[in-house]
Amino acid sequence: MAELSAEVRGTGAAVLSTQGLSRNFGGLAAVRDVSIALHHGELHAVIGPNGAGKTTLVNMLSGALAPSAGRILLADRDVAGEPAWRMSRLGVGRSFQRTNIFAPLSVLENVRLAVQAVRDGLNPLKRADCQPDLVTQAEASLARVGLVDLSNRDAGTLSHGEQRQLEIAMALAGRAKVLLLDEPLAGMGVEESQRMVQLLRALAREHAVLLIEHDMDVVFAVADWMTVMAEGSVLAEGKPAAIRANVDVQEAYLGEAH
Amino acid sequence: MIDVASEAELAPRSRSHRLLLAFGAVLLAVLPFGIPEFYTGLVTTGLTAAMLALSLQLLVGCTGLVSLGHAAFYGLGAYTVYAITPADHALSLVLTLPAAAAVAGLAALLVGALSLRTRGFFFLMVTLAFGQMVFFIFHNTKLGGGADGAYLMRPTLSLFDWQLPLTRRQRPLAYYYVSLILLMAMYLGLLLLLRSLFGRVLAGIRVNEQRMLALGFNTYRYKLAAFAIAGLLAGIAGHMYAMKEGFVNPELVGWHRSAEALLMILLGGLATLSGPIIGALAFTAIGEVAQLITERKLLVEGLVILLVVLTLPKGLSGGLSGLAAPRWPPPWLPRRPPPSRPPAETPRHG
Repeated sequence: MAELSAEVRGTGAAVLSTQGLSRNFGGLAAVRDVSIALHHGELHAVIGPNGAGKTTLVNMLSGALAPSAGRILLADRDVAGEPAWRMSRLGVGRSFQRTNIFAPLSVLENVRLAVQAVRDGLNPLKRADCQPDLVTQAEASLARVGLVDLSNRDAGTLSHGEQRQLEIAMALAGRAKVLLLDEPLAGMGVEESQRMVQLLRALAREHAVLLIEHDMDVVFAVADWMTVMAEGSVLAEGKPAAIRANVDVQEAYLGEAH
Repeated sequence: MIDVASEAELAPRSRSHRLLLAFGAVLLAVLPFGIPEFYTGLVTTGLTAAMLALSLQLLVGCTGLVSLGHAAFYGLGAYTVYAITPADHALSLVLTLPAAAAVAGLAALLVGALSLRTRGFFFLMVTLAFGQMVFFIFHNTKLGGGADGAYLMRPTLSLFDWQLPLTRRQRPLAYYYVSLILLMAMYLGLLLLLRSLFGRVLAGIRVNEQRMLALGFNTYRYKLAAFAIAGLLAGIAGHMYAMKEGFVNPELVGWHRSAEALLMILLGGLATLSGPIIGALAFTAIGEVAQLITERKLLVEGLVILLVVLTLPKGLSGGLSGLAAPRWPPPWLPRRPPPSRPPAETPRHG
């Protein structure tokens, strides 16, 4: 671990970081003393076996879960324990491991709600159909993930891969600075995965991205920085090349998988 | 032709549906001239019930909040008329109606602020508890005439010194039209509300509240606003009850009334704004017919509702629009299950 702290990080300053973050469920320490930093312009992949605490970590960063201990710093402000809606308004967007959309609403309406959610100064009594700037921004977000042609479809009728793309569009629509993407490629076909990888690369240039992913080919292809978790703690962190060479990691995770 | 956004709005979805509703409104407008006087009073009772059910629909059908204490605000609206009317002379509707709405709305704001901290089943129980609290206040104290209720001077249709000259026989007709106008205003107002940015947030909360929170909506505030508006509208309904009957009693507040309002929504249809109105009118009619043919009114009501819910999953309003635009195969025919989705997680590498 000593070599890692000496390594030079990606571009930009830390946008979101944690210090000694922990979360217990009863007697189980799901996340233990995790300190990580997300930088602008960097894709930070978090890997680890099932039950390593990756999703719990994302749930804390997005405000869905309050930490048991530790700090979450968003531009030097401690935001640990803030509710999910406020984290989103502070610029932390997320997608979910299990597709989580508004199935009976149209694709456009799904994203339009995401735009509306973080916009201040709207008159809530105005007609929803007559908000061109909200719609424009929603459409831009849909274009980004390649769903703009399906705007008028009910979200529930999209294919699984398209629904995953819609998840990303909703996370983008809020103009987040930090994107927390929990297995965005889960259940996707090969072609869809390739498109998603392109998108992830593009997103990492403009955001601080935290990516949870099981597909090691994808992770090593897109990650600028990696954190390996096991049993709730950080096992190792560093550049992908260093992680690949790390003996502990190979034993704990990569070894058993490959 | 299906409007993309109407799923969220609970608005009429097709031209034939809209025509049917317009026809219903015109029918209600001319109805008193074609029926005996007694039935005018009965339909007025139905219109009052429709206002109550419609106000509750803002919570149940629009926001996905099932409350069992909604009659508390209905009753508070009625009791407000009793409380502010002096014993020796009547007050103007211009005064009593806003007062009833304000008292019920403020009470709903208070009850909502506390009960909306819970969800699902617990919300149901907490609203029930609040409703019963209000019931026992009126039932066990002398505030509103106690368990027997109390008579009151009916509000008049007057403005300052001018009063609409009404003979005793014209009065029921006046109550009928005031109720009808208020109900229509309520329906159109809610239609506009659900079309607004606020209404879309309510739809989002109904479909997936956790996702709305993750997007950045403070859903508590939106639910509280909806709860307060629904309470205010229920207060207006309660006011019209007091005005028509000239009488209030604790039964107005009890949970039976709340459950009845839920049944009306179920009968009329959860997925439309017109459903509760149709349901309330049908419920009132069923009750009347049941009383004519049997002594077991509740049993007949129950059986009819059961029958409707089993045969028309979308309620009477869904059934009616089905009549206007027949579909084949009919929705009650068993269908093949939709093709299954790929599983959410398929690890392709270890």
